[in-house]
Amino acid sequence: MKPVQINRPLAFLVALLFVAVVVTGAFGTSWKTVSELPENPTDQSNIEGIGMLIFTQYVAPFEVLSIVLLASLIGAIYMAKGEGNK
Amino acid sequence: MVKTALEEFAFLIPLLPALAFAITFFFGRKMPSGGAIVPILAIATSFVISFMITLGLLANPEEVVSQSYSWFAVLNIGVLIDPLAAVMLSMVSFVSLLIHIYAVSYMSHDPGKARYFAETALFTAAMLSLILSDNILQLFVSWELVGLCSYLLIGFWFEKPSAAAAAKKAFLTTRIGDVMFLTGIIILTSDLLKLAGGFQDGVYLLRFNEIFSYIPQLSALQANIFGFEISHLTIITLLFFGGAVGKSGQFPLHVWLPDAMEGPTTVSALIHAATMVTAGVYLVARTFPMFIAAPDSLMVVAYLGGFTALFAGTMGIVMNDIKRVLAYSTISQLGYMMLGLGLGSAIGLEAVGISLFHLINHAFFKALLFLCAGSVIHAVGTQDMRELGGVGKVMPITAATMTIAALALAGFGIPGTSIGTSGFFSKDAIIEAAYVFGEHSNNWIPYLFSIAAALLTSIYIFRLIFMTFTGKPRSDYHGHESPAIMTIPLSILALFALFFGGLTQTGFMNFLEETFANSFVNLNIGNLADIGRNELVEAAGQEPTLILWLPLIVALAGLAIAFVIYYLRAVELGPLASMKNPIYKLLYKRYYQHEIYTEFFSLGILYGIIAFLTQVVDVIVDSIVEGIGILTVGVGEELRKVQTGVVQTYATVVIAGVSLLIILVKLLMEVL
Amino acid sequence: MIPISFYLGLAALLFSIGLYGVMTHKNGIRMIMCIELMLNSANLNLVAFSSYTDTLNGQVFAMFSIALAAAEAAVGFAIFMAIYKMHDKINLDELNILRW
Repeated sequence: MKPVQINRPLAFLVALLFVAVVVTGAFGTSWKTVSELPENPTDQSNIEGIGMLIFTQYVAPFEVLSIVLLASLIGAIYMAKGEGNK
Repeated sequence: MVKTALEEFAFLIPLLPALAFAITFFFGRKMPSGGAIVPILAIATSFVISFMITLGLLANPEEVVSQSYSWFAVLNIGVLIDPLAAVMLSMVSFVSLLIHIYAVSYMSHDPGKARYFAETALFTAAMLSLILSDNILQLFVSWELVGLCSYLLIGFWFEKPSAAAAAKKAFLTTRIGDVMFLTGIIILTSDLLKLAGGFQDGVYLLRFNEIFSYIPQLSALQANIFGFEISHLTIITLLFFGGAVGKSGQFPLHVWLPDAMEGPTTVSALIHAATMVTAGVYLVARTFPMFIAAPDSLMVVAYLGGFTALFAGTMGIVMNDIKRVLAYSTISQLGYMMLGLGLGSAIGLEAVGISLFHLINHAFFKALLFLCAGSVIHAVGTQDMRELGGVGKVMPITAATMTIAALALAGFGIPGTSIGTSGFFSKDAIIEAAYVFGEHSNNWIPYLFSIAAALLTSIYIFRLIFMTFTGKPRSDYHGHESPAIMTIPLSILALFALFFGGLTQTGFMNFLEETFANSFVNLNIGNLADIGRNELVEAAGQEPTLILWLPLIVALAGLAIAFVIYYLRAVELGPLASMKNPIYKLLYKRYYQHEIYTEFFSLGILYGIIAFLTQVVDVIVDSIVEGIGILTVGVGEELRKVQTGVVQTYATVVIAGVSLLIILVKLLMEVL
Repeated sequence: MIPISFYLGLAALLFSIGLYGVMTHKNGIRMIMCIELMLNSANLNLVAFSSYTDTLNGQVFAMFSIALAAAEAAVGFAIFMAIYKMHDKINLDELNILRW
């Protein structure tokens, strides 16, 4: 398996092209935003609001995420330990 | 009433033998005698039904059986039994029945007899369906089926290469005729569509009564070919006649009939004497109104028929194989029938009568001749007449019946009375009609042809009789008389050959003339004849006595010649009948037709062209196919280098592609 | 208050830096770090939108995204361990058996 030459200038150009496309899109669109950033003195980090949302509206993805983490945990440990070493 | 009930059964006539075919095909091997009893029963039933219908028609000629059902799209399947069809149905089923009974014994030693009986049952079914079809397309389908059965039966002993080659030759030669027939049907259909303005509901364009009602308009359509104005009707009828030429073995498509003798003798009797080869004559008779309305068509028919009669006769006198002589005799007699039909340009509908009369009589005595020949071959074991002689002592019944058949074929009888063999009445009628034609139009060629052919007929058939049955045996053979199951059909046919003609002569011809008068009510033969520029003789008139007696004189002369040469052995034929004599050589080699048709034309020209074209096509097609292959492989070789295997390249390409896609879509949105 | 497009532009820039890193580096660990950078730029995008439209859904989504990024990095490292055991190096440009 011989190493393949990586074409650095081409990669730079592609990244540049991508940035150009996205920035043009971002600056060219008129986003529907609020005129004033909301201020919430009692809950500066919004952690209470986020917590409410997680456990009411997004509780299913939360549970699934926990399972995903569990699975990736088990998988990573198993693979890092090596084969034949169960 | 009985007759109405009978009409319902008309469709059974071809259906029962077809069922017999299916049963024998699948179960014949397990049944005794190869499953012969099933077809025999089926054909006997068909014969009974046809005969009853014929009797019914004899009583009331107006009440023809005409049924028609829609088959698919604009085509119909139907039954039409008018006097013309009725007599043919009765004859075909009767002769087929007798030959089947004969074949039970003839084929008893053959391991493939179940196949034989299945195929002959199918053949009978197809022939019967051909006769009673009421539209031309159904006739064509049955025509093809009959040709198929002929191929199967000629090549019955297919392990013999000569039999397989003969079957192929028969099929291909009749195919040429079939293509012409089909072309005629196509032209007819397209013309009818033009005239009728498209397909209409409830009107079946290809039924015969529909076709005949359009004849005046069809003849008005003219086509311009090579600067000649030819009426469409002439083209169509000539193409139909082309099909008849193939199937009925007229010159130049007659070459398959002598070779068709490779099949079993019962096949030759059934197919190539009595039934299939008469399909062409039947076709011309059935479409006779079209022929008479087309200028010059009937003349072509008459000339070709007369020429064939003479031509085949000249070859029959030098053949040494019994069956070959009979084959050429069949071709010659078919020529007579065509000649009879062609004379309709002078005598009108009578022509159908005399031609069909000769057809029926010919069926009887020719089948009898073939069956007797089969009897001789079966008993003695050889077909070459040079090795026979004195068979009459060993096989009296066969000798007697064959002599009767020979007398019928040569046409012995007393003119002006009802005494004579049936061949006498029918052949005489044709020759007299040729005389009337000659008187009327001052064209004596058909008459000369027919008289000369009559002389040759007498010579060759009595040559056969004398060489085979009389004198001392020329070689060592062991013969015995055939069993009763074979001699009984022989005797029955001999009775018919003797008495049928005299008994039914005028009645028969009048009966047939009613055909077109009654079944196609709008048909006026006089009008049609005028369209065809044929002047009809109003009355037959009285021919001079010499002309009446001339056929008999000629037949006696032939008998005398054969008697002197072959019985008394008074004249030594050695130097004359050897290959050094150029005329003999010409006749014996059948005018080099094999060389011309097969060697030169087929193998030389056609095969050469095909071989050349194959080479060209090979080069072209090979280069295209291989080129596509090379192209695909080459493109693939280049394109596979896209798969580099490293993730970075893939990521690069993905992002580049997405960006370009977004730009492209944005541009498109701007443009649109 | 600056328009939201600046935040989006920043996120795009971060994303492209991460992208350049993915496209160029040979070492697998560096590639995973760059992938993390791309993920985080997406998170930045999410939070910017959430804040500028006065909803909290984007921030919840960003939290889930962070958790998933962690899980994915763990699995990625485990895979690299296995590759290292097999080939004794994790230069991704040399792992090209699926070539052609």
